[in-house]
Amino acid sequence: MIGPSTVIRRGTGSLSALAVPALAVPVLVGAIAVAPPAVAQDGDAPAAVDLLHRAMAAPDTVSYSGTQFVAAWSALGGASTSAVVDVAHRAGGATEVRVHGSRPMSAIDERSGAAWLADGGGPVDLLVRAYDVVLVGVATVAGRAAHVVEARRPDGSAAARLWLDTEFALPLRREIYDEAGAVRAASAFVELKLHPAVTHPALRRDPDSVVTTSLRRTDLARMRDNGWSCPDELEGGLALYQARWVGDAVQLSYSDGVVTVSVFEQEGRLDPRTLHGYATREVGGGVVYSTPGPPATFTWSAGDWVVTVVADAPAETIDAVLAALPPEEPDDRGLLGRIGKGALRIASWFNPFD
Amino acid sequence: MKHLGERVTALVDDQLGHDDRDRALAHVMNCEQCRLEVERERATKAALRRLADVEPPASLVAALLALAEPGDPLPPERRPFPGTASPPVGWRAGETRPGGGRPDTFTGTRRPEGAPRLNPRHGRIQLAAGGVLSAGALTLVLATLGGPAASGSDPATVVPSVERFAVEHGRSTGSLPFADLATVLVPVTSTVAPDP
Repeated sequence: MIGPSTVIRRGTGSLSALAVPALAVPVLVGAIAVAPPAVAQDGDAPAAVDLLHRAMAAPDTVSYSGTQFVAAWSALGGASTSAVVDVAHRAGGATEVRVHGSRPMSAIDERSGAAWLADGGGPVDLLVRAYDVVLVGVATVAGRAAHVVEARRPDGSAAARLWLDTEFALPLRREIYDEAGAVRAASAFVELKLHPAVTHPALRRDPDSVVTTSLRRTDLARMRDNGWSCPDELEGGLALYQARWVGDAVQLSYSDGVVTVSVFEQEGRLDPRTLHGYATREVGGGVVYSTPGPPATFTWSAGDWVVTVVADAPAETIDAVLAALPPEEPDDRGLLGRIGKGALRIASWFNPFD
Repeated sequence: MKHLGERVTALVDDQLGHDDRDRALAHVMNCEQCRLEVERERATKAALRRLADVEPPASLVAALLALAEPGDPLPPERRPFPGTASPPVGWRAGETRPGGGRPDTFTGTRRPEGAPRLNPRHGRIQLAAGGVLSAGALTLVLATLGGPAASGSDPATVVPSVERFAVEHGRSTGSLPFADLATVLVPVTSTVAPDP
């Protein structure tokens, strides 16, 4: 599995990112179309959950290197991004990712260390609570046999599929679907070498990947008393599972195990003059500025706070965030407040004790 | 560090805490724009303090006193007990104000003898209009002083670091079983616009 808390430094490689996928798509299709997942007649949920737990632990015990194709489509529709990347992971350590054909551009930090805030012990609980998780068959990815685990919505439609290596439970392929059944994000190994119990040479660490300050429930409670919103959950079953400082913003990470949303809260007022190339939409008492991504980003003023949302999520999820943190133009203290403040300023100038 | 913005006023008024003041002064040392704003604010404040000591010219005082001149006899025509109250010391019959005259310093215009007397109601309207205008001007001044800094460098102005946020989003989703590598690659890979 790709190591958690990956951080990638912006760099060169955009052109190759455009060109290489076109060459790699036939390879990818050849690799993953060998054995399409056979849908089992009777899914075994406990076995699927057990597999997911093993998958979460796999990066700690398996080193691997290989080539992956990744693609994602914007939550706002239309726009997409794709790349072929080389991935190298050290058991229990860091993962390195680089766009195929470019110079190494990212050393990846290992687990973020951020406190887990959602109910349950971890990501698998998040997923199992929101979806029915079932084993739906066996397939082959990059020449390796894999179990296919499916996360189903209450209506029975597939929200995501995960191909897990039968030997090490390492995720070999992932797909996420929207409610209409279209693929919203996908990745798959087209070439993979596993090195169990082999430690890779130390990888270069990206200084930008230093973990920001994690926040716990008590920290969030204190912040709410001081005016921060930090909702515990968002409509649609998205639970807050991590929170941390990113500069002067608080990053609130929400997920149901498949859909992910990051909400960044900052104290202050949004300056629209700095937002170039953004689409605008009036919502409630304010204006929402958005870019399609992916991932789609949205930013708006909520009173004297600025909210920015980064989401691999359907539009309904964005609406849920807007409902929880409604846009509202900054409070300019009102005329009376401004008059009062002005009077106090003049009074202070004439204060003989000043 | 961002520009001081509204903190310029707080710095000049010595309303910042110890640490904030040190940070602001350190910023002022290196930022010409904020240094100029601080100097301008201090100059304004000093000028207003000097204004407080200015003696009003005698003509202005007399003119102000004349505003209250027209009119109705003093004391009021209707007394609670007509005929019983003795006039104040210095009053003479037919006069309408104590002392029988006007201040020696009076140099303003006065109604010529025999000229028609202005309607007292007009005077009251003028006074009321002047009061409204003065109150409006005062309100405008106070609201301007109490408003946000007009320099555009309001310290509370936020520019979200969207690119960094996208990277941090990928970092946080990396621990989820279905999180896709694409989320962490987005900041470095190309985005293909939709077909028209």
